[in-house]
Amino acid sequence: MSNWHPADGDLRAYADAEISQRAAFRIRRHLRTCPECTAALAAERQSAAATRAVLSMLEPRDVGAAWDRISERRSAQARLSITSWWVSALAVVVVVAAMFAARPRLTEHIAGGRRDVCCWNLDGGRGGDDGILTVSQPGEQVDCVIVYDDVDRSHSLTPGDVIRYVSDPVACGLKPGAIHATAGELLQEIASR
Amino acid sequence: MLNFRPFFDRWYPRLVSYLRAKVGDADLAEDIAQEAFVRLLDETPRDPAAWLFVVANRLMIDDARIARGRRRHLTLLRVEASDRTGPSAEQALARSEAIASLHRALAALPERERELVLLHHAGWRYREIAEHLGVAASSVGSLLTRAERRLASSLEGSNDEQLASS
Repeated sequence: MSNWHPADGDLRAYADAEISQRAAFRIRRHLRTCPECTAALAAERQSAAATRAVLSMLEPRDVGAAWDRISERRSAQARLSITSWWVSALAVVVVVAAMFAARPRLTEHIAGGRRDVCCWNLDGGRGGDDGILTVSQPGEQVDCVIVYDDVDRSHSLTPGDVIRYVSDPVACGLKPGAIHATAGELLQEIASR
Repeated sequence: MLNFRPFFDRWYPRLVSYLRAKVGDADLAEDIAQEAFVRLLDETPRDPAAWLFVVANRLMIDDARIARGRRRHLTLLRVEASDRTGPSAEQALARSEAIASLHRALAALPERERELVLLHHAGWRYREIAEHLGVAASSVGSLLTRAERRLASSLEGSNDEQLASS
């Protein structure tokens, strides 16, 4: 029997199979001839088993039920994810539809040689509120062009609008050099001639 | 890809017992463990078991309810009322008392020894425990021996006190 004995920690590591093969071989060989270390190893194993037993009281009783709860949570998350996807998709559709509905649209009114197209965005301002009224006969050159702000959003030249430009007052049927502050005055004069 | 059910069967009980020893509440320990497992489903960590314990520890610290549970645990006054055990009331009571004694004995250990015992019981290897606690892997065996002796002694003392008071 040699004078060497493994330390308690090494015996414990041996019991837990946490020691190198070489060290394990040495301990195993030593144990064949050392009843003290054999007893110490048995005590280590007993201590480990006792600790395992007492700590096992803290383990859950029903692992299957826990698994079921996790599976249910997972399924609920998946359902929520699918629902969220559909809600997001629907929101995108609604936003696109709203943008489509709100886009500027041109309307055209033609009567008595007058062609009124509204509304453009000629001045680079917010939204499209610029209308163009032309006066001409079919096939003739367009000499009269009136640009206005469609203030009342009626999509045509109406008395409440503001005149921005008149190309040629005479060609438009107005007095030479006439200045009209409002579309009402201009429309009145055109109508009276 | 992790084969999740066998992994769950292997690690769930270990994680719960580790957490239960720390928070002193069976239901809370299971809640935290389940939350950690649910989060694991969205992750692919290199070491899933170690990841679970790290996340569970973080959840334990973050959650105010857990903080309350831990305070209860540290006062060593609480007997787990929710322990669902044996068929008779006497057995249930005995088990609750045994668990309360265990909590007291664990709380009496120095923090490092308590962590060592719990992690070893949870299935961590010496190398992992050594890394976690910042000690040499070669010293884990002796530290474990000492911690387990202290735990056993503390449990015996607790049982003696109970016998004396009954």
